This record gives sequence, structure tokens and C-alpha cells, in this order.
Amino acid sequence: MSKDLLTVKNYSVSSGSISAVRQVDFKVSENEKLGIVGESGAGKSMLGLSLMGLLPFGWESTGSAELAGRELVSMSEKDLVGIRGRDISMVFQDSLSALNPMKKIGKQLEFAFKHAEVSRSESFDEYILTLMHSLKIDDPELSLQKYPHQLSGGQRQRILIGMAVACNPRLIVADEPTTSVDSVIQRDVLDVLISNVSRLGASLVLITHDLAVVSNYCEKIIVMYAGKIVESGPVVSVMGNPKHPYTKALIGSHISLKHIKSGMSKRLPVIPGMMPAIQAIPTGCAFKTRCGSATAACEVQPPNFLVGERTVSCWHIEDQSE
Amino acid sequence: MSKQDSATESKAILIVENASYEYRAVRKKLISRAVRQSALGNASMTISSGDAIGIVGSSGAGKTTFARILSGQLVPSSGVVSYLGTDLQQMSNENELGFRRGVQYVFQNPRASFDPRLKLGDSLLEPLKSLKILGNHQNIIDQTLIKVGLDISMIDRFSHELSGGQLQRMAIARALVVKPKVLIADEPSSSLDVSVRAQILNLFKDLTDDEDMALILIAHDLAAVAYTTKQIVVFSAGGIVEQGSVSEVLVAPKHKATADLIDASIGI
Repeated sequence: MSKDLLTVKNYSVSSGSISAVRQVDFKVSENEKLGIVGESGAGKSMLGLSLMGLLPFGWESTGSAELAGRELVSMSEKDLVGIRGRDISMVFQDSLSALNPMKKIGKQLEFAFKHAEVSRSESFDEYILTLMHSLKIDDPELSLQKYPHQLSGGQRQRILIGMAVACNPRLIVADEPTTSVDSVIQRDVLDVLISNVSRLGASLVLITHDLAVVSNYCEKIIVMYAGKIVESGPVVSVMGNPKHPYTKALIGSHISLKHIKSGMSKRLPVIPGMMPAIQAIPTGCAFKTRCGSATAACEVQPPNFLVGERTVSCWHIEDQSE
Repeated sequence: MSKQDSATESKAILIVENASYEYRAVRKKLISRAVRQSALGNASMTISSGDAIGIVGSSGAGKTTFARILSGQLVPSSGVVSYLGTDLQQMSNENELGFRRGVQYVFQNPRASFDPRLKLGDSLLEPLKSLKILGNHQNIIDQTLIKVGLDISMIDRFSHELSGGQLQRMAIARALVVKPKVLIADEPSSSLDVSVRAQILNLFKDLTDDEDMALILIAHDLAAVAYTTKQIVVFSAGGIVEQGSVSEVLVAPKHKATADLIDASIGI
């Protein structure tokens, strides 16, 4: 059994009385790929940013998040700078704003190494070229001389992956790394991300709203709703036999070619209503206003029930099978 | 996208013949000649009432350029676009008004396509007034809002007060108030969450039942297009490389670009 790399306990991300992430618990093991899914406003990105210590001004994290035995919540900015890049790194969503428009790609990759204080060696240039090859970028030497706007969206996203893996981190947080690219490029970018994560033996936290991405590339899944984890567990069991009404609804409203080819012509089910704003999260189960199974019991926040290897936060789990 | 036999010709609304478009690329030096870059080459299509056509392809394949030519936002570098038998370039002012009424466009980003200072009711009133639509405007707006599943009271709100899905419905309503003959939607659901996306795709699927209107849905997501439309046109490298019914294209793709799109479409 692999060791736990990241252990998050009773973890919240708040600004005053408003919370974007509310008392979540989860673990990421070594070499594990964890997908975090949910609609916009579920708190996925704030969770990712908080692990990196990159929260917006006025926001703070509480509880505990241990990365390889080191507590991230109480870590000083100086120590955080020391671990960013080397122990934990991030692939950002918008490649145009994540890269410096005034600097060439080569300089920015170099900076990723310098920032993590990895000593330069004679083979440094060679190492960068090998990295560029692993990112499957055509003509790597020429690409290093280009500015971000001269590359395509897919190439820029791969450069961001390169910067994230440059210093062999143990945990990579990828926040919607393929939202802004088309489906063909999406597959290429994800393949590059996963191959680099595997090459390093690192762990991955993949934040996305696309269930298909998680089901194809991750081993474990966390489903978030209004700042809470509503269901988590192995991808195979959660996607194959979802227990929480929200997970069921998300999977139900997903459309794939497989369904169309198999003759599914019925209308896509939709989730009525919308996720509550973080300033107005109702008491009890936050999903109750959109849930077809809601009862008076849902006025009280359900605990995380253990069903086999997964946790489900719902009062109405009749089927206890995996 | 029907075959151009005489029976279909009579129903044809928009016909594009051999349309090409070249963008002016950036000059390498101040005194050098501007380079022209081809974005679309010799694309032809006939759009008739009741058609539901999905246009798919990867980024840069020419989908949006083609849609802009269809909607008159771009003038093709060569080729002809005709609306109800009249070339767009030769159109009288009166006919052009008819074309503007007849062909409506829904953009990808609903937030960017509404004036943030106008109440949504005024935004919906604008095309009715500028395109000189007769009738009781308030009634038309109310009926259209009901059709797209929005509450009538939303006309008193500003665009920032609606969610992304609601605002995209409002953008569709704004296109529908003038009762267009062709509705073109360019990636209308790609910026939306999975559940909201399902709502918008269902709405478009309902709109395909309208035999008096043709729907052109552009997306890079093959599954979304296959779910919503009846026919698929595949664009690659600035041209149409394959077209046919949804089942034909999905089951037996003939072009590599189509096979790549099917291959890239990852499911659960």
C-alpha cells in the first residue's frame, strides 16, 4: 500500500464569515492521480490555490494540510517559496495570463528552475531540451526563442506543464488545464501531463468540471458541491455506481459519443436550479434545494458515511453496495 | 445542406458557393508586403428550412470564419453568398434588412454579448426596433422568453444578475425575437458547466423541431453536435472535408480529421 503524500483534515478556506471550502478531509497517496470535479463555484480552484499558498488577499485556510509530513496551513511565506516548484507545483488554467508576455519561453523555463534554486549545471540546456521533447513540442529549440503569443493554446499549456514539472515536484495541482483548448488538443495536453507525472513518480490533483477527463485519467475522484465534498472514492466505483444525488445528476447530464452511438436519443436530464452563492449557502445539505430526494432530514448537514472504499455525504443512501 | 435538386432549391434560404477568406497576417518588417493567410478555401453549403446542421472541427479549422461569412459579418475574399436568391453583395437596403432579420447569430460568450448598462428587456427590444419588426413587442418578448425557459420578470434585470446559463438563454431569446429563418450558434455551450450545458443543448434540440427555421450549431465537441443536430459538416484546415447524417459520420467516418475528432471525444 502506497504512503500518503498529502493529508487534508477539517480544512476550510474562508474570508471572514464566507467560506469557499468547508471542512473537507481527503488524502492523496504517492503516485496517485486524484480528480476534483464540481460545477463553477464549488470551491475546487480555491482548494487548489490554497494548497499552493496562493489565495487572494483576505482569504485564509484553516485546519490541516500536511504534505509529506510538513504542515502547509501554518507555513511561513519564506518556507512556502522553498517548497513551491520542488515539492508542490501548479498548472494554471489560462496559459496566456500565466506566462509573462514580455519574456521568451526559454527564459521563463529557466526561471522555473532558478526559482526553485536548482543548481545550474553544464547539461542544463540539454535538460531543458529533453524536457521540451517530453512535452511533445515541435521544434523545441525554435519554440524556446518564441514569446507566449507566438505559440498555440495547446503549446502554451504544455509549456506550463513543463514549468510545473521542471523541478521534479512530488505533487502537481492542475487547475482546469484543458478548459480553453479543443477536444483534440485536450487529449494531447492531458497525455503529456499524465506521462510527465508518471515519469517523475509524482502525484496529481486534477481539478476539472469535465467528468470524462477524470474518469479516463484519474484513479480517485472527489465530487464537490458548495465547498463540501459530497462523494469521494475510487473512480471506477463512483462513476460506475454513484451514490450521492449530485454525483448521479452530474453523470446523468454528461453527454458522450458512446451514448449517442448506442442510440440514446432521449433528452439529457438537467439539474434544476443553480449552485447557491458562497454568501448564501443554506444550512444542512446545500444540495437540498435542487435534489429530488430531499426530505426534512436534509435540514441537518449529513456526515460522511463510509460505503466500501468511498465516502458519501447524504442521508438517503439506500443502496449500500459498492 | 441539402442536395441541390430543384425541390430543395425552392426551400433554400442561404447558399454559399466556393467561399474563401484570407486574413491579413502581421507584416514581418514595416516596409515588407503584408502576407495574406488563408482561413477558408472553397467552402460551399446550401441551408434550407428545417435543417439542423452541426459544424465541427478543431481550432483554426475555419468554422467561425465560415459562420461569419454566412451571417454577413465577413465578406468572402472570393465566392458568393446568397440569401433567398439574392447575392449579399448586390443587396438593396430593403433586402439587407430582410437578411438581418432572417439570419441571427448567438455568440460563445454571453457576458460579452450583452451591453452591461442595458436592462435585458431593452437588449431584447433593440433588434425588434432596429429591424423594424411589426406587432406588439412586449408580447413577442414574453412569448420568446417562455419558449427558452426564462421567467418573464428577468427583462428587468441587468446581465450581471443572471447566471451563465440563464444569460446564454437570454442571448438565444434575443436572436429568436425577430423570428429568424437561420439561427447560427457559435460554441454556445463551451463556456458553461456540464449541467447548464445540458439545458442549452436541450433547448437547441427543441429548436430543431421548428420546420420554418434552420439551425447551424458550431462546436469542437462532436458529442454536443451529434446530440443536437441531424447532419454534421466536418471542417479541417480551412475546408469542408466530410458531411453527412449524424449516424453516417459517427459510424463510418471517411476523413482522418473526423476520425481524430471521434477518437478525441473521451467519454465516461
